[in-house]
Amino acid sequence: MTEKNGEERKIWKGNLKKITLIMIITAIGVSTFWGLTGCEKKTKEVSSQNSTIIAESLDKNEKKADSKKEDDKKVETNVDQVKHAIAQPTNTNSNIGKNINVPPAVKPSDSDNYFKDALFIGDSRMRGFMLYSGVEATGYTESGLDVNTVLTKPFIRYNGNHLTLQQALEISQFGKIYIKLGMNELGWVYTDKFISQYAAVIDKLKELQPNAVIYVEAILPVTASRDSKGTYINNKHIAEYNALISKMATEKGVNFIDASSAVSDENGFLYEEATTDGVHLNKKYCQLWYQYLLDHK
Amino acid sequence: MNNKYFKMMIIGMIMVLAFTACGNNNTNKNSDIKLEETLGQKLLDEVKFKDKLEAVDEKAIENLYGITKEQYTAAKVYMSTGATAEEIAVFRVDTDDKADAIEDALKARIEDQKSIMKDYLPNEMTKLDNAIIKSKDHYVILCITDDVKNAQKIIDKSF
Repeated sequence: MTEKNGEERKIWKGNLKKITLIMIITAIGVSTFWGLTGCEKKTKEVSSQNSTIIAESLDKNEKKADSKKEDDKKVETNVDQVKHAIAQPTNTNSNIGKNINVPPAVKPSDSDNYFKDALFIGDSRMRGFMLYSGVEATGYTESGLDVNTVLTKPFIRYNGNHLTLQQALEISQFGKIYIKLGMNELGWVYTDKFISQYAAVIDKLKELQPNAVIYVEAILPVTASRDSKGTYINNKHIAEYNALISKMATEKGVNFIDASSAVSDENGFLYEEATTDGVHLNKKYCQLWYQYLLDHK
Repeated sequence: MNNKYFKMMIIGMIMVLAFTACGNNNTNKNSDIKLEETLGQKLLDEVKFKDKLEAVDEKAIENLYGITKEQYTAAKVYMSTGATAEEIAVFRVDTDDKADAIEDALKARIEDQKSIMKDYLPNEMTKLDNAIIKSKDHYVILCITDDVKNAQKIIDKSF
């Protein structure tokens, strides 16, 4: 009996060993299965995304290279056009759609922090200036702002609320104020109403900010293509408004500053490359505008 | 006997490890890839925009959205020149509460833009009505464009 039990025990031990071995192999097999499907999927997704990033990066570099080739072509074309322009009289509308003798890009630097205590007030063009020029200053700007709404519309974010310009100027004091309005008022029937309201705004700024040096900025020109559309948004009309604004600034004892020359061609048109709609300046031209202000402190 | 139980225990552990080793873990798989950079750039490159969009800094983000830098881990925001209402914003956050706060801020931004654009640039209202806002895997995305289907496709593919 004991011998039989001993043999049975041996058989049982042997079977146990086999079972153990089978289970270990099964576990390794399952682990390998998940390794090949689960983790590989994750690896595939990451590497496919990495491939996408690399491919996009290559695409982007190709696009940049193509764009540079196009820019080089434009420069060559511009040189030819300048030669042509010198040879023949300039027709004001012949510049439509062309970029002639465009200014080089600049990287403005306010090394002495001149604008640190400055406030910029204005409409969508001033909004673009604050976004893209690189100026380190306070901006109270909003698209559509005009001389009627600038003091009373609550558009300035402050501690989770919206304040009017008047309320904001009662809280903070500034060393310089640059204000630029008028683009949205070009369609007004009565220019005297525009100017008298603008004058009232300047009076309020002087009252609320007695220590600030005030600069009233000229309305910048539009492109030749925009000018040629025949609407009230044209450079002749802008020039009329700027003459009124300049006169008002002198009467009020504040400064008038006109950055138009920094962003316009020899015919006074905003460069075509400066905008997508003939009006709103892109980053390069906001920086040219800022450089002008730096050069005319 | 003890030896046998010990072996069974080891086997059991191996099997448990085998079955859980490559568990599905989709949470934040994009966090390694900095989606705010890749998706932001992809939208800029592949979605049709009428205006030229440029990247803006954290100061502008705070001014435009009321979102401070403490409210997000990273962000990429592209704005238009002012000629359109077009915009791209991709925020990465580390909590659901922060994601909700940013989503609310972006919705408020769209409403603000609508109140401005309805008189100033009424043609832009359609873009604002169709603005895309998506919040997933601790990313919050905004895209305002006429090329809505394409933008939505690109955003959805990123997750």
